[in-house]
Amino acid sequence: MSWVYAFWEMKAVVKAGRGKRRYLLFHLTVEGGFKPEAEEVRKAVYEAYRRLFGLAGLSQAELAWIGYMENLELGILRCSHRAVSSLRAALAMTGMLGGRKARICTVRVSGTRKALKEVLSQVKSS
Amino acid sequence: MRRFIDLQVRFPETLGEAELLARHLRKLCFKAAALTVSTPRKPEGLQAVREVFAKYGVDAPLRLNLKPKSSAELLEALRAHRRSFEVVSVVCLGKQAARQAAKDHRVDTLMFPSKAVRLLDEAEVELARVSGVAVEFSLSMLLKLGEALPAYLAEARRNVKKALKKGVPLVFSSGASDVYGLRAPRDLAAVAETMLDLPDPVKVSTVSHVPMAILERNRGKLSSSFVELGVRLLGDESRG
Repeated sequence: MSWVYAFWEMKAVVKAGRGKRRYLLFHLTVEGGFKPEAEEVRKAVYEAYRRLFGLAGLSQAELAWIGYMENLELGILRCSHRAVSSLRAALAMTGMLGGRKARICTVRVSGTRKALKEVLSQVKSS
Repeated sequence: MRRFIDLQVRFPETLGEAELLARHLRKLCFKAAALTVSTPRKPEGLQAVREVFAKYGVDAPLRLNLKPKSSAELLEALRAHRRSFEVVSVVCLGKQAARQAAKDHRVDTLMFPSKAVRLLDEAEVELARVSGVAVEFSLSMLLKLGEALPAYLAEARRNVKKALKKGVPLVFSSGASDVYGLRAPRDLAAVAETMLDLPDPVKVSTVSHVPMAILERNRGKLSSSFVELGVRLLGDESRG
């Protein structure tokens, strides 16, 4: 019966006005194999979004930083389901990081953290 | 399954660079990438580069970017080089050349860098529609604009709307000069959607169906079995 409660909970969450969320797994590649710190990446992502869509857009996107694995160069962001395209665009428009050429590519978009964890475990094992 | 193609990636200078590019393109799920040159002659080591790309399962057609100053210069370049390249694009810098490029069916895509985007007006769109020429935007071009990006996008959005209304095909490419300029195909589509206000079905076709159709059409024309549009030699399997 757990799925019934899970479904009810999800419905309640959407009804409560929080809205649907999406989790976005991204991969960062920086020139010369440089590995930036998580805080630097977070600032770059937020700045890229703010530059493109402004502060109002940033607040509407409900952007949240979940985490960044420096060794794997993979990070997870959360946003409103309406802002997935904008977030992808903001990440794609990031061409520099810390004065070096950089590339941020979306690996996967998911509705739950669990699904992303599965992708992450696949990446770790490969 | 969708086949994604990046219609503009700079031709690699070394085999090592080619291998790196091919590996990254494969990782990003591209089936093909048009290797772009700006000078109208076949680059050295083309076959070796193509073999490297084939090793990673990425098709590597050759593309020429022309920057004509006049329509006469454009016509001369097309006459001389069209059959040596699978894709030919024109970077429109002046009105005369832009109009000529839009009405010439030998041109595949038109690009409008910085202030030249105002050349993409209704007359240009109509000419492009009749001759089947696509309008192309690239991520590298947008990134280079810097402070001029908002003004460029405002003009581009207006003109893209006209192009879509008339049914002119749109292409979005990375314009990458190295691996850091490459992006995932759906990320490119997302940039096209948000920056140019493209509707949902159109955005993904700018990196898949439209460029793939251009490539296949041109390959058909370049094959030995091609006679003219709609006429092809059949029966002899040894031919193209």
